[in-house]
Amino acid sequence: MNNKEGLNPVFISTLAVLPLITLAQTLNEIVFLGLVASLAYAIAISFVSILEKMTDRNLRFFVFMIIACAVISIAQYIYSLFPNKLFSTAGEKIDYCLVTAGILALDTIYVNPKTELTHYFYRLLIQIPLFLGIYLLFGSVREIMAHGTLWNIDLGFSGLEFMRSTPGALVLLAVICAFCNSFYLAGKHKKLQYDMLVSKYKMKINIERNASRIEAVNASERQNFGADELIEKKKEEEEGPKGE
Amino acid sequence: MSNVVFLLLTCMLTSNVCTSSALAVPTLSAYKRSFPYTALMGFLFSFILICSGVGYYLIYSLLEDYSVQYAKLMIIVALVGLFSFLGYFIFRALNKEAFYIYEKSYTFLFMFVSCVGVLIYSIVNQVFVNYILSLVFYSLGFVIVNFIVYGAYYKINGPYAPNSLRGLPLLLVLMAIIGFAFAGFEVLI
Repeated sequence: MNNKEGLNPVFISTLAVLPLITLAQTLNEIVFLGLVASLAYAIAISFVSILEKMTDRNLRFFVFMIIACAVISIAQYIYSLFPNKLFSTAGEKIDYCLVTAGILALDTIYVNPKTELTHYFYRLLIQIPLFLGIYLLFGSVREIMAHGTLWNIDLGFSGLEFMRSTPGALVLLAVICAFCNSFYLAGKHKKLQYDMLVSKYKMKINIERNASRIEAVNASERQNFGADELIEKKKEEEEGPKGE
Repeated sequence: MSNVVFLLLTCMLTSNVCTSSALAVPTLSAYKRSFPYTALMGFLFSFILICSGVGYYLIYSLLEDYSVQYAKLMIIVALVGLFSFLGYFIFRALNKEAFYIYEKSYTFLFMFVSCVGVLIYSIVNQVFVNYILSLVFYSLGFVIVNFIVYGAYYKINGPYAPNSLRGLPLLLVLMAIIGFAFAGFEVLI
């Protein structure tokens, strides 16, 4: 999963979606679970970022899990006060959002620790929409293929039995992951090409600049900036005492 | 059918934590290039899961009368954290090279979240022996899938695989195939 350039953000988001794939079948439940997981992650990581220079990363992750756990328990309590039929199945399984939040924290706590506040918000701005995007795409396609509905609106066919099972969901998630990964790899490849082009032009400019400097030195009246004179002087000084 | 066989078939095969609920898949995505390391990972996962499961069962049965449904999650996280750190220090004392890989491949995090997920998934309102047996079979199920993934590591991550499918997508497809194979045991239940 990891390589020299760091972790693949598409893979992290897909891993974060994994614990939630069997819990919700319809898009409305998926939106609910996705938002609870994102909320828990954003709140807990904001608190943990304060401890950046105080603790080691494993301990920081443990603190993150405790805070995320508290946030999810509060969300569960609020849900029990106002139960909604639309989210009935997912509402009882909010606990699993903790696993999702934990996986999302990998990048911020372990790989790219917060060095500046802007960098930290930049990570949040990439991670949460990517996770929600993959989860919503997965939820929409699965609801259409498994039940023949979209947000409980009938589309006119009964759906496939295979897509209701976990292996079906895993295959669908694999396809979505590969699809997003191909875009990510293409973008990465383009960035690499761009960086190489920039470095090539930098080298070209440097070569031209160096060539012009050499020409300026050659054209100067004092040969070697007076280095020859200095060498001759030193020779004379060395030879002087011997001659005496 | 005896109770043990039923638990074996359900917890280890049909409701496998990797293929049925996909809760332990994050741990599978960690390093899988050496056989001893894979075996150590399986052992560590079983140690954390079973020890924290026993602790969770005892605390839950003690506090059952006090309506602890909102503290349940906190108990799980605290226990899994405690045993994860214990496993971390044991691992560090056992083998420095393996510990280096453990740290490098973020296994602490993946194992932590997987164990939390499996403990949430397990049903605690049952007889103690049944609960422990179910945890043991969950661990065994994980170990089996772990070794299958170890065997297929170079096919999944090697140059044979297309670029965009390499790594996690192929691992998920492998999980789906194993899930299908394990679902066949439902006939026996």
